[in-house]
Amino acid sequence: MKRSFQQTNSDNSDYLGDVPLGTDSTSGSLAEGPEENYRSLSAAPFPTDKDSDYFRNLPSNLNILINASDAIRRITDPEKQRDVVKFLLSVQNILLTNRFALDSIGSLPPLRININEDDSVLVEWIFRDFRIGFSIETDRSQSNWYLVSNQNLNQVDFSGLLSLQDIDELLTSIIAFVLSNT
Amino acid sequence: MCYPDLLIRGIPSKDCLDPDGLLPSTQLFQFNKPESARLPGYREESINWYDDEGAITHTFNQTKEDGITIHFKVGIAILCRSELDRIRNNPNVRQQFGYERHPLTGNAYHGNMLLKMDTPKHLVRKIAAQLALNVTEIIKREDYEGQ
Repeated sequence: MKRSFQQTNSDNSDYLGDVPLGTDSTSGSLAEGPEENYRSLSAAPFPTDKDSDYFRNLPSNLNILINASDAIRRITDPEKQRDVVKFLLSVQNILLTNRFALDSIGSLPPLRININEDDSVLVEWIFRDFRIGFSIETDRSQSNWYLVSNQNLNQVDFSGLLSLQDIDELLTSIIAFVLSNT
Repeated sequence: MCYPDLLIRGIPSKDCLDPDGLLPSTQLFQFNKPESARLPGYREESINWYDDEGAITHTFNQTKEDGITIHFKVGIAILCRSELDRIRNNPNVRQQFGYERHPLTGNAYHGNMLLKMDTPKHLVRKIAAQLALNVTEIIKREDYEGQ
C-alpha cells in the first residue's frame, strides 16, 4: 500500500523495527541480522576521497545539495557520515526522477545540514510556510523525520522514525507535498 | 500563574538562523540539556516571558556566567504562547511538553519550556521544528543596537 502522510500522522513510527538505518536498500535482499546489514553497508562503495564531491551537479533550480559536500566533511563520525551520504544520494535520485515536475515551481531552497550539540545531524529543508527535517541520530534506531506547516497550510504535523529501507517512498511523498504547496 | 501572550528566545549563534538571517533554524530549540535537577524527568529550555518591553532589553543584555560575554550575540526570536499551547494540546504529544515561569535572581522574566526526558526523538525534533516555524519575529542585535 502506498504511503501517504495521512497514514503516518501519528507518534508511532513508520520505522521498520527490524531494519536498521543504513541497510542497503539497493541490494535487493537483506542480510540476516542487523550486524550483517551493517557490515554490508560498511562495504558499500561510498566516496571516501575527502577532496571529491559526493554529488552530481544538479540543475541550478534543483541544486538543493549545493552545501552538502562541505557539510558532510564536517561530520567526524564515519558511520554517520556514510548514513548522511546515503540519505542525500537518495534525495538526489528522487529530485532527478521528479525534475520535470519540480521545474514548474522554480528554484528550491537548499538543504541545510547542521551537526547538533548531541552529534546528531539534522538535514532540514526550510520553506516559508513549512519545513521538513531528517535527523540522523547517533543511535540509528532513533533517526527520524518530520514535516510541519504553519497555519497558512493548516498546521499539519507529521513525524516518524527514519529507515533507509523505504526512504524513496517517503521522499516521493514529501516531493509531492512540496509540489502541492510551493 | 499568569503568562503573557509572547515569549522570547535568545539566539546565541548564526547557526540558529538561515544564511539570510530571516528564518530560524530548528537548532534554536534543541532540547538537549541534561535532566533538570529541580524538575526530575524534564529537560528545560530557557525563555524570557514578554511581560513588558523591558524583557527585550533584558534579553539583549544577558551575559554568560562570566558576567561579561554577551549571551545572545545574534539576536532574539519572539513566539506566541498560543503556539506552545497548541503543541501541548496535540494528542500525539500527550502532555509531554509544557512551560513555566521561573524567575531567577537578576532575571524576573525567566521561564522555561519543559519537555519530558522520555519524549521520543522524532517528537523532540518535530516540536523544535514547530517552534522554529512559528517564530513571529526576529530582532537582530545589529538592528536593535542601531535603533
